Amino acid sequence: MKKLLISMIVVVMLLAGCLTIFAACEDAADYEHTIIFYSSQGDSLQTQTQNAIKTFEEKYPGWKVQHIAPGGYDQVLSKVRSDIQAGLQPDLAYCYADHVAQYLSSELVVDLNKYLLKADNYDVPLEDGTTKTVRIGFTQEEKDDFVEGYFNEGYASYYYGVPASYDKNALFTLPFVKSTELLYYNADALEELGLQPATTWDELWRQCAIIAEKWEGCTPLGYDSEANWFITTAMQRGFGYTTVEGDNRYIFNNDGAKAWLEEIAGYYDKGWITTQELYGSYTSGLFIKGPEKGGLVYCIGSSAGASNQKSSAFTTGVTGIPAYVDAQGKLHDECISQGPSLVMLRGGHSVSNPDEKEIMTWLFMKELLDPTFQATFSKASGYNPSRKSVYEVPFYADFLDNADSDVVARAALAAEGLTERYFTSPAFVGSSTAREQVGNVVQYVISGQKPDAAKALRDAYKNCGGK
Amino acid sequence: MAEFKNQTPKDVQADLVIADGPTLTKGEKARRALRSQSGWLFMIPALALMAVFTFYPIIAAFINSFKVNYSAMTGSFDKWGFENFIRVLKGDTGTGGASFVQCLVNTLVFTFVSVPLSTLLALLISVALNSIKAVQKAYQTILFLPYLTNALAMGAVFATFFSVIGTKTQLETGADGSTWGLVNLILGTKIDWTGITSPHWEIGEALSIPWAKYIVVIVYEVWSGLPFKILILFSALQSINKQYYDAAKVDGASRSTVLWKITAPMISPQISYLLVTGIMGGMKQYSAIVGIFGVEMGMDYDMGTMVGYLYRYIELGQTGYAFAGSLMLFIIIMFITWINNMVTKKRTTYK
Amino acid sequence: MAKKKTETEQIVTPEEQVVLPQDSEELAVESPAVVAEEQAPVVENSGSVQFEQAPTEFDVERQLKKQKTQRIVKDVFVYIFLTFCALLAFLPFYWMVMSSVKTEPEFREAVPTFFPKTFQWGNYSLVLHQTSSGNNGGSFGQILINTIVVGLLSTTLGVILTILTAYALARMEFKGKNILFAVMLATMMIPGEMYTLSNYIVVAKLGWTDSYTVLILPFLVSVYYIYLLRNNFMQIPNSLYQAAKVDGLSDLGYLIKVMVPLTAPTLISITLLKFIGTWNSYIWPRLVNTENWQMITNWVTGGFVDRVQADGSTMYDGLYGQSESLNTLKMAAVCMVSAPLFVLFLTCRKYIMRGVSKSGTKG
Repeated sequence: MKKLLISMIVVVMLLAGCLTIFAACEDAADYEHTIIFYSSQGDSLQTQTQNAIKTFEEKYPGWKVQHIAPGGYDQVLSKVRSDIQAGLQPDLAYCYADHVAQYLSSELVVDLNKYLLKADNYDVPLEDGTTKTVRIGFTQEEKDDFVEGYFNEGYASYYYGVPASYDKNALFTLPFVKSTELLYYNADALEELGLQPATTWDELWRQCAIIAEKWEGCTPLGYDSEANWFITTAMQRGFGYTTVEGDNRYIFNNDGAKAWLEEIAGYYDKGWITTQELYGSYTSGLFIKGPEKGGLVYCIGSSAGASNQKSSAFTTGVTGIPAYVDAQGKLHDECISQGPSLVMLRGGHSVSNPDEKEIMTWLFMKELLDPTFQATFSKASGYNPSRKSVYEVPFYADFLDNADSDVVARAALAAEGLTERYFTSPAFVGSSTAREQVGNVVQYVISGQKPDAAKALRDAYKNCGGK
Repeated sequence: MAEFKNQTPKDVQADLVIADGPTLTKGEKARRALRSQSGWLFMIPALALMAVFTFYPIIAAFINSFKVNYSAMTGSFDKWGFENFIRVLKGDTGTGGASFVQCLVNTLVFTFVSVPLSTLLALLISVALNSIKAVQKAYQTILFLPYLTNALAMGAVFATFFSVIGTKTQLETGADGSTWGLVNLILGTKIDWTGITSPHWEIGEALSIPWAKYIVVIVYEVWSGLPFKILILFSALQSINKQYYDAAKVDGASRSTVLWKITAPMISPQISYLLVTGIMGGMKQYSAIVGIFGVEMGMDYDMGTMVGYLYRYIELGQTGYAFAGSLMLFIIIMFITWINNMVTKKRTTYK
Repeated sequence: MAKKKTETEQIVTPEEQVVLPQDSEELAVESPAVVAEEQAPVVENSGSVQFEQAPTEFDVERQLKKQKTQRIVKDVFVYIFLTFCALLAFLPFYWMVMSSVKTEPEFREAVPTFFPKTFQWGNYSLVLHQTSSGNNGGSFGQILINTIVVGLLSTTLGVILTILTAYALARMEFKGKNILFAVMLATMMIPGEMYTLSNYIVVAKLGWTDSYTVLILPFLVSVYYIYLLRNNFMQIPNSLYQAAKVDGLSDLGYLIKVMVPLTAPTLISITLLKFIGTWNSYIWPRLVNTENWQMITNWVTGGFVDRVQADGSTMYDGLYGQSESLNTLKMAAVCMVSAPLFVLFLTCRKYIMRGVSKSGTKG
């Protein structure tokens, strides 16, 4: 009995011992002076970001930035969501608008208007007890330097379900780097047929007929993302996708969408198109083969994935995605913008100086949005900078000048020309579900799994929670 | 053997009481009283940990399942009530896709086909493995390999088994660069096993059998569950004393008698363990479904499982439904396990 | 009173004895293979026994010959069956190794190749290079230390806890034991995902994030293994317990001196499985700890985007985006990280079998 008691005590002690030892071993992070930043960056991009962190830390000695990459966007989302519930939210995080929509109810998202144009100076307390005085906000000129289409998506007017405590014109996010969709084409094949890259969908379909006839067994067009296709078309044709107006978020269940789905289902039957899901893999893999080997001639994919469109068999051309011409002959050339924005969250790790930390986080965010840093980052990542002046940063301009030899530069250049064409979709809890669902609709209808487009739309609508 | 058959710890106690006889001194009585509670001492470390990391979350989930319109982010809710349960059962959560009931049916099908199947297969393999002498070790090692193989590679292999790749034109012409997957190649069929693409095409036999998707899931579960089951059953078989077989032979027992009177009872605790834990694990199946069909879990979540259902509502921010669903899942598994226990109790023998 | 009740419960009723063979025949009809498979060892193991029976047979020669052919046929069948299963089990492993030496473009081909067209061993040197560059999340050395420390502690403590708890549940008598066991089993029915968030909030409140504690404590108790070991303990004959009592062994002494050695194979299996589990864990470490406190599988699931080789040259220069991870490198890393587990299994397998042959009294 005694032995038993003793051994039980030993086990419990062992446990407790380990616990205390490890707790003591922890180098307790100084959260009061460490800004926590979550991103989904891979290693080589983290190295780039490290430069911005270095600049910041040198500028403000005593302040540190801890950069954590929990994984992809979804992992960042789920980690931030869990962190908020545990009270350990980061100060700054990569985000998509629909992520922010989920964070909003915690009321921890910082309204950036507070700092955006604030002309006041702030005395940053430094390690050695001195202070450094800096202007907090951007100048009006700097603010206008942001690509408008990117910048606007941060405003509360694009969100639904914003807690009442926020201002109507609140600004939740700033754009970091962005990407869009581009039309990659096989320049050699088009030349052989004497065709110019299509600028409208009608023209594209006409060319598909010619291409399909020329190379038997080839598929003229591949569109990587079914969801983007639907959302972009809804914008171009104006039939509607989601809305923040009224009680109903989901408005994609309409006749315009039905007509379009039936149209492209017809093209699919002719063997003209494929998508990532239907093909079973990225369509860029099919594109680089060339039409002689059953590949694509046109491929619509992300501007950030330009390097995958480079083929040894032919020259890859890049241009904006085709536009829709309405009955009046008016051109609708909207295209989607994607890629990370930055969101600030308040009071993580229950620090004693939340206000001070918020301002410092803002100042760090300004480093990330600095044109020179944006230029290096954009060049390394293939993403497009969020500020127009980046295109004038000498080495980035040189890089773009190099467009003749490099697909990535060509894609960046093509994307620069699209800055006026971006649109923003509303963000709310459930907007990512809507995205998934319309992607499915495209896939189901054109593959014939749900030949009835109206029914497919109705199902998708229900799956989103629409009544 | 018969001497110890069907004895439980209670018998041990009983035996001891008899052995000690009626002449107990006061001190012995006190010692026994203390001893009878010393079991708790053994349990304390485990129970303390479980209290924090297991019981507390369960109790919290239980409480939250009664909060109507509960928001995990802020902890706010409208009122207390059974609405979550009613809506989940009625499929009236405001969201389409597979209902709780359909997810339950899927889960039951997956579990009650794959668990007995894989246990039986594992038993066959273990018995076969036990019966050979040459290269036994090599086979045992290879059969355990999937357990040591990263899930990444498992997924990739499974995709090559079943996934159909190619554009419509390529698949129609059977062009280079398109494939119907390894299984179709071997069977000489053109079935779209994971059911994403083919009905429209009417190419060859490209028909989607409604059950194809279920077969894929079951194959995956059987396959991935085997290494663990073989490890358990094989070591159990190995530890059966060979004297029993010899003794049985002397008694002139027939082979089926040997199997069902010696082998089966000897490893029945392991089989019962594998069935019980297998059913519990099967009822919680989720990752395999996502691995095969993506987060959409098939077409409109039609391959959804109950845990998949919970996840979906957590993602939708409707945690109240998720908690209510998990509570019902818990009750269902409890019920199944109870039945299972009733059935296996008679079969399981402890010597 | 309770004693009497259990005694009556345990009496084997005649019906039960009748049920068993009946049922077995039904099963046998459904799966004749079970019987076929099982016959092989019995025949093998008891060659001498047959001679004893032989005189009662009329044609010994013919009978023996028949049995011999039967045995060969069965052996062939057994080997074919096992080889087929082994092939299926081997495939993912083969795939993993082969993928790790493919070139990235070959790996990404829509229709995968079974055998690499060109062997790119450079993948391994690149991964090894990344272990020292610290470019893949936290530093490799630190993460390896973490994994070994956490793996060892968590396995040792976990096995001790499992033994104690299983013993109490199997062999000790105390109030509320059955209810306790039922409750513990019931917790196995709650999907683990339901715990994660709650546990995270708890460890955050306790301030345990970024520590080994948080990687060890929440997973120390595994009802799966407790249940397995309890079943095993219950298989050990009571005679041993009574003998131990006569020898004056305490419960703990009996547990350590008798039970543990007798269930060594299962204990080694549990140790092995527990260690593999810890080695492969990455979701929880990723949630609760920052890079320098994470585990080796976190490192494996990291980016692998750095393709500057040891000699300074770049693999696939310009072919893939700079932030794009290379799957072949990931596979090479997976292979490297799985190798110690493989060695561990081979070692354990030997002990599992040795333990079995030693414990002759068991069963």
